[in-house]
Amino acid sequence: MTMRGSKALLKMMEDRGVENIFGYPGATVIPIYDELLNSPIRHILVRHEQCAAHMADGFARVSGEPGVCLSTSGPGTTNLVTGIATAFADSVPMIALTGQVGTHTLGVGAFQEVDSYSLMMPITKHNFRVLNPERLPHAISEAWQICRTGRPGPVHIDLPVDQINSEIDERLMTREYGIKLPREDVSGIAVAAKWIKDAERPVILAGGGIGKSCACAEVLKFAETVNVPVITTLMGMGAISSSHPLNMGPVGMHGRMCALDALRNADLVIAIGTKFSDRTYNPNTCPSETCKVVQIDIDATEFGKHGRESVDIECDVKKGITLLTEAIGRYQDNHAAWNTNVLTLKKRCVCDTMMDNNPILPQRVMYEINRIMDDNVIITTDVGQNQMWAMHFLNVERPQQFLSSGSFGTMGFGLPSALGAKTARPESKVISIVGDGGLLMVIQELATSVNENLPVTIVLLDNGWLGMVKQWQKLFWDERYSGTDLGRSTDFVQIAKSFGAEGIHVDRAEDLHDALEQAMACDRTCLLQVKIDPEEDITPMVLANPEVPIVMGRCPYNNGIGDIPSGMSRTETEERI
Amino acid sequence: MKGSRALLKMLEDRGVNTMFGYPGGSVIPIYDEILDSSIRHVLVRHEQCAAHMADGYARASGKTGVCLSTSGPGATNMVTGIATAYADSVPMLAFTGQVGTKSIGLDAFQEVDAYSLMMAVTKHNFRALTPEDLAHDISEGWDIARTGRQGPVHIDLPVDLMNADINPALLKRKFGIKMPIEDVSGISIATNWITQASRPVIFAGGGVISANASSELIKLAEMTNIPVVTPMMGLGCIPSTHPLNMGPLGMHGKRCTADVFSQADLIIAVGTKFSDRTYSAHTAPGKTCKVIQIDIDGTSFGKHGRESVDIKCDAKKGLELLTEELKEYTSNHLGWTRSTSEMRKRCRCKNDYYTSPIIPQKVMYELNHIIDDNTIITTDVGQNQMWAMHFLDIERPRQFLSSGSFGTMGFGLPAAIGAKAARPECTAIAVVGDGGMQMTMQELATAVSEDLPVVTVILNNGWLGMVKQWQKLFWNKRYSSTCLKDNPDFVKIAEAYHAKGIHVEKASEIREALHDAVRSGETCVVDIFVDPEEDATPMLPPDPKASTIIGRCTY
Repeated sequence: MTMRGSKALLKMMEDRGVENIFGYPGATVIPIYDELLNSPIRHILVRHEQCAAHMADGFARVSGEPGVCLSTSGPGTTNLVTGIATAFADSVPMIALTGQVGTHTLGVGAFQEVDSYSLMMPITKHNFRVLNPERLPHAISEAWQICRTGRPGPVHIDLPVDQINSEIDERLMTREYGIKLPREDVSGIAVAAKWIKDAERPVILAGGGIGKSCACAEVLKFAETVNVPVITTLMGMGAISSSHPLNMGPVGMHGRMCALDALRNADLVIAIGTKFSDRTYNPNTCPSETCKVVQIDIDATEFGKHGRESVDIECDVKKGITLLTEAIGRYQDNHAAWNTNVLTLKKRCVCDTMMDNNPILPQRVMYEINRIMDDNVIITTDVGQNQMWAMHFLNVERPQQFLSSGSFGTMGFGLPSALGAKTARPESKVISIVGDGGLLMVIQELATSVNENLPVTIVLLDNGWLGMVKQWQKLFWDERYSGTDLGRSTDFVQIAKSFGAEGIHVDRAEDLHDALEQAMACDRTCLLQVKIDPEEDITPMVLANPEVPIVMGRCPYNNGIGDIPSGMSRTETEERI
Repeated sequence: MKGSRALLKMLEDRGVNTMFGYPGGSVIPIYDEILDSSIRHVLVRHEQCAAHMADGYARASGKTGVCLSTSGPGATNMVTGIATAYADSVPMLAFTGQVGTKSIGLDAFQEVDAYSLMMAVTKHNFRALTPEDLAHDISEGWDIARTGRQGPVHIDLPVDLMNADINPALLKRKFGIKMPIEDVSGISIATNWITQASRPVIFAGGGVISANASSELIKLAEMTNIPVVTPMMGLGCIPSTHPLNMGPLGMHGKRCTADVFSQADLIIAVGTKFSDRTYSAHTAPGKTCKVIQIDIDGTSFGKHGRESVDIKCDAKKGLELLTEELKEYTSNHLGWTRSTSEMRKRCRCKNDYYTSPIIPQKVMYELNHIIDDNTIITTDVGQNQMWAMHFLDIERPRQFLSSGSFGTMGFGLPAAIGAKAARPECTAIAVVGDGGMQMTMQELATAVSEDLPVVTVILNNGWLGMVKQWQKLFWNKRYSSTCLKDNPDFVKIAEAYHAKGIHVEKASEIREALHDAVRSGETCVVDIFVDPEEDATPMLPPDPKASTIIGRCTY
């Protein structure tokens, strides 16, 4: 028995539990689109292929299942690049399918031809080009496993149109094409356990690998067993709840000061599923040379970046942390003093966000979002100041509740990833926190949201600038603003309404709460255009260069060590900048 | 001199006065220097469009377009725009920021292996790792983009290099690139073939426009009295109204053109690549037809499968040599020219329809009324593009800008803005569909903020029309994901960006709306509701055995 390539493709996806594909049609994928009419898989029609990938990404981050996106050849393929690269940088499982010109036409400069195989290589975990019908089931089967196995990531499959139209032996579709599992090396567990027992100032550095490995409960159990404070990266937000007493909050360029102090003063860092990125771990945040590192990661390429003596445990986070917890057994806390100090730091690191200022301050927006957040809410962010305010001030209580483009920092991620999240969890309320620059990059997806009935709440922090770059120009380039002023303000509320969505202007802090409630109660997509103070920076700000003093801004943190007076008024704080 | 300053200085020295870009962490040093540079920076709203604008700028002016983005997503966002320029051989320099050289490979924030990424979509690319590299790469990059078959060159710029000091002497150093090898040995055989041909046709592509060889082409055609057909990229190299111009050839070309082309016994191909959409089983001449091909790029030869003489040189030079050799030429194909001229007369499109809903032919009819020498037309991709190609009167090179080979939806609006930046005295009109418009409509903000007013004419049929047309004609009307359902109100959107917007629903309103839009001098969106059931016809089906779909064509 044989089956048409296009049908076989969808059948194999169905067999693997795929229920949603995000895509945009074009000449070379018409056969697949024709088959979609007969498939139980739902197709979500986007308005720009970049967003098909971002939606698949958001879908995957929330559900833990691979997101699937589909585009035509040529520009359809190149338009996916940013979305795939974003997923790759944050290790998100994804299958990206692209059409291709017929195999006989490859290389002769045909209409909408691009060498997508070469193009995708630097931004995918693996990629395939199907050049004969037997390869199709093989590619799909392996791709599905590769994207989910070990460190997850996107896999790209290029599909020449003649392959999709040819007949495939059905037996091939159920054949096992086993891939090798990543090797493991857990020989360091005993040493790691000893180091943990001996440590006087241990911290856990919790990264995105914890959520991906579904190891939050295990990490929590470990942290509570050894009573070690936890700091998270941006990607680790939600691995432990914000309200947990041991959670010190996020560390990084715009992280919490108490988390920074804890990391800097540690004598042992237990790094779990994190890659020591430059924005998190750098000469200004890192602990002293004598600090040791225990690192658990499934991907050996992430070991050794920290430059400290270390034990590397190469395995899945869940397994590694379980083994470590077992090896430690009954634990006797010998770092009580450290915990007392760290908890004191945490108490001093309380952000004042309930600000009545007008123009509105973004902190106040976060305060109001915190008020309405519950377990059923998913937050996505865009990139830049909005993202850092959200990271710094929001209370994130569970994994897969906070989605953000961490490593690639892709502006425009916020809205489409929210639509992907809503597809994965229709029962959840999804709030996308974005800036005006990033929203413009993907504004057309309001049409997708409305037409595909994927209602989300968009909280636009509108300051009329490309704020993060502006902030750098303000603080480090003599206030020489170049290419960051967005000029005449755009009426986003009118744009939202033009698409058939709802829109509300919010110009006063006191109106925020009601507007948010209204948006959340709305069964349609609703955009809040919140005019915020363009002069407000995201602070504190910790550059990688230790010679540049930390920009504190409104942060009242006083670690009791330095010369920072306590109980400062707002003016004094600003003068310190 | 600081690296960032050296970069801009070298561009200034080469006559660059405009660049299109979007800032980010790794290019802040360059943006700081831009404040002190004579180069105008046009701030876009998505980096894809920085590349499309640089592309439109280059196509409209013949100069090299320059675009700039930050590392990571900034670089990946430009890929589509660069690939579009590459596929249509447009000279461009694309600069991307990169993380510092010490962080490369460590998964730093906004890091991507841009060098590998760009290799597939550029003529050449560089990663500058030392100050010497920087001077060398800009100098060579500039030359490579413009020499031989033109194309985009990408230069990756790690941020530490932008902050490093560079010896100013390096900026002046000559880093000569080799000129492409020429081979014009076939000229005398070619001359001989032309003299003997009884049904010759000139096939003039985009290379004629890139080489600024339009007048040489017309001279040869007139001297030999040989009819001219053009692929879409060749539109404008000979005026639409010229008696020898048979019009565009291809899947949605003129039928007289296909007839003439397929009956030819000699094709004189100049600067064209025999793309699948132009040269197919439906259009190809008989096996005994011969081909003379002039191209600067040797990889374009031999795709036609006919006996040929290949002349490897610039289109201008090749045309001049042929003209020179043919000085004594007397036509022996009078009968042929008479019959092609007859075919041309019979191939008249009726455009002046007063149907309701409006059909796109009428929009083209009205556009033809307002197009003058000072107008530049850009198109998006799909039906809108094919209607524009088929029905618009294009009178000069660089008047009609369209994404031919890559077929990039979203090209229309940003390309028009780029064209306007290159030729501020011109009226730039983008003819687009509702699908493509949504892909890049955020650039209305750029047009308004940067004072680059353009007119966008949306042929709004509520569908991804070209794919829908295929589904209608070849897939049993099984419409899958081509209906856009509730489209946005494009007029309200235009107004939200402080642009003008006009709705048009009646054929009788089109002319005034277009006039208002052009006269306003502002960025204006003319949203025209067109009949969703109207197809782009005639159409040569993808199946070589299927017959031409005629539609309303009266030929």
